Amino acid sequence: MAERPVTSDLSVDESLILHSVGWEPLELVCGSGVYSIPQGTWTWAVGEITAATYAVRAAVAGAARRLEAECRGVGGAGVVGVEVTIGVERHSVNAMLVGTAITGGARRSGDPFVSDLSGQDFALLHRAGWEPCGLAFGASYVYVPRRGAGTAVRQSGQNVELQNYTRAMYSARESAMERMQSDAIAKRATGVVAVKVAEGPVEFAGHAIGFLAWGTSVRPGPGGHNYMRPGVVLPMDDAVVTFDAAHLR
Amino acid sequence: MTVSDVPPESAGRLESGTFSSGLTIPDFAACLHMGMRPVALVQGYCVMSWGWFGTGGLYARYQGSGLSTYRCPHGYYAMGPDHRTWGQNTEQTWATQAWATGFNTAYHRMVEEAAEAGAHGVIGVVDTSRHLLEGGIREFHMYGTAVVVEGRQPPAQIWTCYLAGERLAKLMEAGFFPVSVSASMASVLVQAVCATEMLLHGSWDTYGMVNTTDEITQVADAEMQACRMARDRVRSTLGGDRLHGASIEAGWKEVGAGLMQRDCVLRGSRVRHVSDPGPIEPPRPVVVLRG
Repeated sequence: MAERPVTSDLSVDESLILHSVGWEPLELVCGSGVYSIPQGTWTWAVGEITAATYAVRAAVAGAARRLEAECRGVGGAGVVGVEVTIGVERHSVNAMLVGTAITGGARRSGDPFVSDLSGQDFALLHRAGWEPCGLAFGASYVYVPRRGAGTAVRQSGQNVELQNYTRAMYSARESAMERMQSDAIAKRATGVVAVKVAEGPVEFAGHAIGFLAWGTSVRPGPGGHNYMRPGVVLPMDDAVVTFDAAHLR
Repeated sequence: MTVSDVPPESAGRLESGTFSSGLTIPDFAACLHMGMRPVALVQGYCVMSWGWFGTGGLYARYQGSGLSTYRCPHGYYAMGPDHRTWGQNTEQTWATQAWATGFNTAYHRMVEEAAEAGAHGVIGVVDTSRHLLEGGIREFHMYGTAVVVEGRQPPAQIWTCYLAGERLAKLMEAGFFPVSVSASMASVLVQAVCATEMLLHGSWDTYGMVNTTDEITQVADAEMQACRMARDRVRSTLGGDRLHGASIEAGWKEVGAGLMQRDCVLRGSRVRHVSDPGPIEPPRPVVVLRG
């Protein structure tokens, strides 16, 4: 049987470093998830925008399922270097995951893993005796809370903490991260590495803010943690330290 | 103008004796280090008329290669003029074929210019494609730096590669040699079934058959289909080679009421394994002492 041609979005460095630890690229794989956001979701209210939060989490989970299925279809053990793209529209959310399915190594469970770690990071993790369990994801969309008329008047002309904002946004951030950790626990992971946090106002609803957190959930492999003594590098090419003489006056 | 035509203006430039290159200084230095001498910045260009010109009514364009169908979940509940009882994801073969024609024509013209310049290969290839004049015309442009490998005979076929500089040097150190740039486009038209249409507008039905917590599978399927088709087409051209540094460019376009188009372009460098790089030391963490 003819060998299947390899397609991959890995860099040369990534391919070689994966090769050095016994993993090889197989196929460029993608996963997509699209969910609806009901009408009226973005109307100003108080608290979390649960419908949007649900849609974003479900879209990412759906995309990861499809990515795993593609990986399984080509006989891969997992997917590395996954690029996560999430597009939120007024009435729908679209999640797209693209990465390279790889094979090799020895894994405890049969399910393919999904990881957004680069080839270099994955190889180092593998050498340290850890294994990825999947992409852990958390989201939280909240309404920017309104102040009461009395509070607004009292706070006008003063630089004071806007406690309603602080509480709401603090809690939303924590919710997104807590969901990410719950997701990791559900994947039987002991932790999440390389966590990314994205946050910001929703383009078409100025009173709504979204918080997203994701990373690769990991657990120790069968042999446990393998301590690697780091080498010490003393670079001899330090840039010349310059300063502005005006500061000495 | 045929594929073999190159404008006469290019002859003077290619035969002038001076070289031109699109390489950055580090890439230029790496190119010289690898024994490659830049000879000319070469390009290929093609402008295509862009539209469906088949026979039959407008809807005939949508009866191309069917990928998947979606049945209305409502059955006899279905009523009203807006209710669409079926949906389909269709490959727009005219678009994929026209794209391939435009891309390949520009590619061959670029290679022809490289041959006129006496080059062995073209590195740092860049290709662009964009609509002109409200979408009725699409241009394809491809350019790169033609190089001669010092001390080698010209190859039977000019090789091309998206990579240049350090990345190309690493690729060759790793035992691979570029064969050609490889790209493919897939276009999927979504004729939304009523459930898809409802969900995309954030609405639902009163029968409990379309709920806002449902996945919009028809749209997700279209994204997967476009991506897979583009990838499988490129893979079918690889033979025993591999596609390195692949990248996907994808987007949605609304083309009418209930009609959406998903385009996906996959590009990468086709490379051939020619030698074994030998044992590579596994990664080792380091602490860098830097002030």
